[in-house]
Amino acid sequence: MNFQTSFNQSKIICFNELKQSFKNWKIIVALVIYLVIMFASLNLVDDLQETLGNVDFPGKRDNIDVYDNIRENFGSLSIIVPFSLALIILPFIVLFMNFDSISNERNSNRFRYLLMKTDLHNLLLGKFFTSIIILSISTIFFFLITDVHLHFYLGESFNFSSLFYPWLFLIFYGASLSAFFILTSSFFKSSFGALAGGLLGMFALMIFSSIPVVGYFGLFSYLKFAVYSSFGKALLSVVMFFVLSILYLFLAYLKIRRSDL
Amino acid sequence: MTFIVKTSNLWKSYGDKKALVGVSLHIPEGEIYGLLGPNGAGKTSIIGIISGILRFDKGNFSIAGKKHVSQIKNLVGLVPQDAQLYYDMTCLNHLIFFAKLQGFNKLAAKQESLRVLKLVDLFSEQNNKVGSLSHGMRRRLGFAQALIGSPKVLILDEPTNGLDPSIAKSIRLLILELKKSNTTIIFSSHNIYEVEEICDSIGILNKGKLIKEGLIKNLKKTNSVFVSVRGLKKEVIKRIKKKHYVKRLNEGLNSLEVEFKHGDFTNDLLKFLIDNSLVIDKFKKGESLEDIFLDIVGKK
Repeated sequence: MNFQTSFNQSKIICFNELKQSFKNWKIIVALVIYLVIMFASLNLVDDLQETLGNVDFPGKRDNIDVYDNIRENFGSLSIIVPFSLALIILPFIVLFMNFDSISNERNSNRFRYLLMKTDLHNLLLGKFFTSIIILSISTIFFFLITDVHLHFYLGESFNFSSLFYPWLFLIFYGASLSAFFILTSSFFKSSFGALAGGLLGMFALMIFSSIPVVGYFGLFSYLKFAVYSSFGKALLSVVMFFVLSILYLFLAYLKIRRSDL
Repeated sequence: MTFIVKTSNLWKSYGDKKALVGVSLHIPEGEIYGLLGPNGAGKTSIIGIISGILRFDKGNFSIAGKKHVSQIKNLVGLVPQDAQLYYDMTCLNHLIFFAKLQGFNKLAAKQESLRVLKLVDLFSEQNNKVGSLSHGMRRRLGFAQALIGSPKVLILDEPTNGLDPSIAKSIRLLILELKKSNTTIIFSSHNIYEVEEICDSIGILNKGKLIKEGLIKNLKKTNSVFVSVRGLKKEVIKRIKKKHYVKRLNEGLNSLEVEFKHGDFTNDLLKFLIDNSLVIDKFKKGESLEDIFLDIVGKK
C-alpha cells in the first residue's frame, strides 16, 4: 500500500473517529473538565499577578528579576499558570479520552471489520491524529480566550505569538500521552482492564522517570524542561515527545499484530 | 475446474490448543462451498485466516493466485457471525465509510453503497440508524458491507444463525442470487440441511483436520438405500445381512439403511421386504449429508 493510500485511509479513520468522539459523552465531559479547570486558573493568575507585583524577590535584589525572565521567555504569567496546570491534568484527560481506543474496538469486534479494509498502522494513526486534533482545538481555544480575557480585563496587549510555544509544547506532550494510552489499551480486551492498565502505566512512568536509563523512555522525564526559562531545552522536550509518540505507537502496532483478534 | 481459494497445510494454534492441523482446502471458483464441522472444528479459524485477519503458524494460502494479505483485502468480503456495526450511523453513512476505506471517492462511495443496499433489499432503510434495525436487517447490512467493491470471494460465517426461518430463507435466496454473478461463496454453518440445499461442494472439518472435501453429489453414496418399514423382524434382518450384495446394514426402530457392495440392488431389496409381508412407508436412495457428517464426527 503506497503512502498516498495509507494517508487517505488514516484521514478517513480520523474523521470517522472525530465524529464518533463527539457523540461520545466521555469525550465531552473530559474536555469540559479540562477547559473549566483551565479557565478557573485565570482567577488564580489574576491573584498571582497582583502578589508577584508586590513581593520583593531575592532575584530582584540581585538585579535578576525572575518574573521578568519568565515573562520574556515564556510569555506572561497568565499563560504560565494554566500551562503548568495543563501539564498536571492533561495525562488524566488524555487517559479518559484514549484508554479504550483499542480495547473498545476489539470488544465490539469492529476491529476485524476495519482490518479487512485497511492496515493496522492506518487504524492506529487515525486514532492518534483524532486525539491530537481534539487536544489542539481545545487548547488553542483556551489560550485564545485567555489572551482576549487578559486584554480586556487586565489591559494587557494581545500577544498571540507568545501562545504558540506553550501550545506546541502541550500538543506534543498530549500526543505522546495519547500514543502511550493507545499502547496500554492494546494490551486489554475489556474497557475496565484498559482503564486500570492506563492508570498503572501512567504511575509507572512517573516512578520510572527518576531512574537513570529507564527514565529516558518515560515522557514525564522531559517535563522538567518546560519550567526552565530556556527555549532550547523546551524544544528538546518537544522533540523527545515526538520520538516517544512514534515509539509507543510502534510498540502498540507490534503488540496488536502478535495478538489474535 | 479452477480453484480460487487454496490453502496448503495450514496450522494454527491458540496456546496449546491446536485449532487447525495441516488443512489443505481447494475451493472452486464461482461455487458455493460449505464449511461444515462441529463446534471447535476450526471453521472460524480457517475463515479468519482466509479473510486475512488471523495469523497462522505454518503453511500458506492464496486467493486468485495472490498470497500477500495486503493483496487479498479487496478480493474478500466477510460477513462475520457477530457483526458489530456503528450503531449511531445511518445505514448509508455506515457503508460510505467502509467504501471510502476501500478506496472509493466520495461520490463513488455513495453510489456503491446505494447499489449494495438495493442488492440486500435495504434501500428504504438507508437513512435509518443502524441501531434501529432489526437483527435480520443488521445481518443484511453486514452482507451489504461485505459486498462493497464486488469481492471475488464472499465468506459467510454462520449467516443464518439466530434468524427466524423466513429471514433465514431470504438470506439463502440472496446467497443463491449472488452466485449468479460468479462470486465464490464460502458458507460456514452447523445446519447440514441448509448446506445441502445451497452448496455445490463442501469441506468437513473435525478437530482441526479436513476430513472430507468435494462436490456434494460425489460425496453422497449412491449405492445405498434408506427404507422406512413397518413390522421389521430380526429374522428378516438376518436374512438381508446374508445377501451377497449387502456391504453394510444399519437398522433403526422402523427403518433400514443398506449399503451395497457394488451396483444398485434397491429393487431386489424392496421386493424381498414386500415378499416378507413388510409394509414400506418410503425409501430414499443414497446417503444423506447428515449421515456422512455424523459418521465423520463419530456420533452416528
